[in-house]
Amino acid sequence: MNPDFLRKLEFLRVVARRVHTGRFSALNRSKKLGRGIDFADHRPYTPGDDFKDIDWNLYGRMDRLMVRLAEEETELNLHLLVDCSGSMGPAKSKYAHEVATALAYVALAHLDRVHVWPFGGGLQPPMSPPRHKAQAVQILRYLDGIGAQEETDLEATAKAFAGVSRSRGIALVISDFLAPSGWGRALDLLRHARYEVGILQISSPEEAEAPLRGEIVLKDRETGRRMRVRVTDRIAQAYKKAFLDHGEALQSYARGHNLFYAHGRSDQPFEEMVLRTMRAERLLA
Amino acid sequence: MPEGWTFQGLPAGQVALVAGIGAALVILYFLLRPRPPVVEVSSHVLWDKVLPKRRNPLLKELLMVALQLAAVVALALALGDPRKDDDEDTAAEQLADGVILERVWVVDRSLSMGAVDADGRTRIDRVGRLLRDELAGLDPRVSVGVIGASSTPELLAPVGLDRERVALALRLLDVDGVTADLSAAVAMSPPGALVEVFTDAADAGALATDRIVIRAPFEPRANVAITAFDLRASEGIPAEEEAVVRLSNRSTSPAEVELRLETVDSILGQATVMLAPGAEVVRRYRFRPLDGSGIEAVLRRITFEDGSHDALAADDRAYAWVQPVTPISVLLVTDGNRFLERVLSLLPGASVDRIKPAAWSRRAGSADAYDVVFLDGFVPNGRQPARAFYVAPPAGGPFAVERMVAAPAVTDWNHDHPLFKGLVLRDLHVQTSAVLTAGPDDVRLIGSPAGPLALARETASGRSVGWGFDFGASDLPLRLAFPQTMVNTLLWMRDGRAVGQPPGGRHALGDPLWVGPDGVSGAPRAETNDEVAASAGGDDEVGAWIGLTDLGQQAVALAQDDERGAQRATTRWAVGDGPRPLRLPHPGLWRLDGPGWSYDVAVNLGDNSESSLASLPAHDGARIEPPPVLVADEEPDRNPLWLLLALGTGAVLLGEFGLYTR
Repeated sequence: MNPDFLRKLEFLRVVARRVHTGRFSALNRSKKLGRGIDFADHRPYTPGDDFKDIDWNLYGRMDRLMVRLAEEETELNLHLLVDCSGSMGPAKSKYAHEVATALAYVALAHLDRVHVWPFGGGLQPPMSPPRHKAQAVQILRYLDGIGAQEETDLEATAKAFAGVSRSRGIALVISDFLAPSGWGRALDLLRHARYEVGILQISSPEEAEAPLRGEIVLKDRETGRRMRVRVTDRIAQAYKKAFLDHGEALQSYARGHNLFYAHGRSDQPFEEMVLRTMRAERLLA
Repeated sequence: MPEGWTFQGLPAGQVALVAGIGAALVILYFLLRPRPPVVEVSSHVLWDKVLPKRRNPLLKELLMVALQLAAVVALALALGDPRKDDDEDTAAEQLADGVILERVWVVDRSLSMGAVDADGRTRIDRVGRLLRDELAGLDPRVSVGVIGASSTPELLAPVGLDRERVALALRLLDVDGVTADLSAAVAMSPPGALVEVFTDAADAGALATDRIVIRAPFEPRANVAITAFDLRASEGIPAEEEAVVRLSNRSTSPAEVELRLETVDSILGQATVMLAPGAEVVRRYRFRPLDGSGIEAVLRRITFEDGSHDALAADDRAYAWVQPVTPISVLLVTDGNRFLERVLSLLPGASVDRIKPAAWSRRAGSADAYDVVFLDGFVPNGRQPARAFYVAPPAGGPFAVERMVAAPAVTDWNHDHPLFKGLVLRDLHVQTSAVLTAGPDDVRLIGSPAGPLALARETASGRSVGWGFDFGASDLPLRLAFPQTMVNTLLWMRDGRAVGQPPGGRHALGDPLWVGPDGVSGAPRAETNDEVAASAGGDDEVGAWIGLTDLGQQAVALAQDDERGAQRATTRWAVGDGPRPLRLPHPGLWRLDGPGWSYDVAVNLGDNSESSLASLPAHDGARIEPPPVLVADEEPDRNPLWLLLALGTGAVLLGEFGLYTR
């Protein structure tokens, strides 16, 4: 990541569509009322309250000690669930890691909490770096250091994630969503666990079209399983349609549940995804 | 190969070799087949949605290999052209299915098939018409053949689809000979064909099998036949011929027939004979000897009590040649013997020549031509006659005179000798007699105490009797024994020599006569018939030939002054270089004239079993009817198996290609 790009990232911030409450103070709105900039309400003074919170102007008008309350700004938890299964391949993995790192950088620059959750057949140990933007490099190293995992199981990953994670926030799933067991159930689980789910579909240009015509053996990158097929034009068209339908289904799901959705291709610059697409989809602002 | 199957194309070894090489190539190609490129994809998830549910690819490949192997095996078998051998089973299956592809019509051509049925047609004519009708309605895919069953079966039309030839054979159907060898005729039919035997033979039901059907579209008929006819001659006194005729009524009704014996120009006798149903009657006729001609026994005016008609005319006639008998000839050498001359003159049919002893020298040379020479008181000098009766022989003759005795007592006579057979000479009185000296070969005929008065001698050169006394010197002429003694003497002296061979032979119709340029095999050569021989025996392109004359037809024509008819009675028959079988066309008196020889033959029906027309074939007690279904209902599968295998090979390869491209 070049400095210009990082500089541009520092002007962005992760935008949550819902209000989440963090544990530590930061720059994001929260449901907590306390010390903050934005006035929220007044309440009667009770012994023990800080005198500095008493609204003396109101006391002068009403002769009652009232304590002024403000919306407390807390940190935002950004959970990056990064697909590290074999289906991602080097190109898509690189693209996914760079996007994840960029998002983490944005979040860390705004003192938000970033949790990186690699997954494959199941959830891998997470990485939750300190709130400092320099930690983004560690995230990239961490992701690159994780080898290809076994067959993608999004549902198992979602279950594990919902059971392990304690902090609500944005759960951005970065994956190709080519899971034999499907992806709908996993996303439902995340939503029901009150995460603000985001979908970032990664694909490679090879996946969009049938690779060859004629008799070929298709080797599954995840399982190593081979399948001998005779690819005809009819089958190639059917495959292309199936690929488009796959993306359409994800997009339709996201639209239906007011979720973030973006589709990135590994042959395109990830900066484009971060600086334009995510901003356009209002994940970043 | 399964039992009953053989390869008509490549032998089994080569079929196995072709199949093995083909299978090896298929397996080798399978092992060395080009591998498709391997393309690594992210996941099979999308492909699983696109591709249909698929079985194990290896299973598909193995299935393709199996199909290829099956195609190779089918192709190898097609090259072998397998055929099933057991055609008889095929015929039975065809019969069971009602699908008959080959039919053989065996038609009985025996004599009985010439019998006239109620509709006025002969049985063989009815069969011909019936089969022509069936032929017209026959499925064109069915092959048909015709076999004529006679004593020597003949293929009249080979099995095939040539309807014209079969129709011609059916139109020309006719009786041939007397008997028919149905078994041999059936054996000529090709295996696997449905054989229909048209016959009236009562025992034909034994031939019936699942592929041999006996058909008898006839009605039982009445018939009277001459079942035996023979002539024999007797050289008795007088000599006579005896004809024996056996008649048989082969019907269920009493019959009355007129039996007549005829020669060419005369009727020897006729009688009306009553015949009970199924009865056989033997009639004998005696007549004076004829001069070697043929006699025909004929049944005329045959009437049955139930009004039916005699169905078969061929067995109403029989033929035989008369056995000739030479008339009695006697030479009497005497100066006068009243009793002897008188008794000889009384012999019927005898010719007696009388000479005096002085004339002996002129007749001595022909003495042996006489049946007997009576030498009365005379003994010729030199050679004695072969058959001589010496009466009161003087000394110096073949019988030595011992002495003369007066009034010898006749003490014995030889009862066993043919001369005295049935005679009694007791109390014979003899006035004077010579006592003869018996030689070692002499048989004593009359004895006395003084010695034998009469002797009989039989040598290789002839027979002779020495009678010691003159008949006039005894009372023998006064006895009935005297003429009988003379008759016995003549018969003993002739001893069958007077009966000659008949001029012709006997032959059974249908049996071959082996005739060559030199005559009939086993028959004596006879004098040449000059008239016929003048035109017979020439050589032409087929070699020597002979003339066959129907003597009966010729006689009728001559009696009507029909010269051309008489000529038509003679036909030519080429004999070639060696003996050939000759079958005369019908019974009768025939003459065969060849180059330098002639042979007469009486041809009769040799087998009278064909005269039984009242019973017809039966099988398990029931009449056998034609098969109910004889025409194929569907197009028969005539494609050979190799063609089906070749088509199967193509189908398997198409299936394999379809599986490959799927």
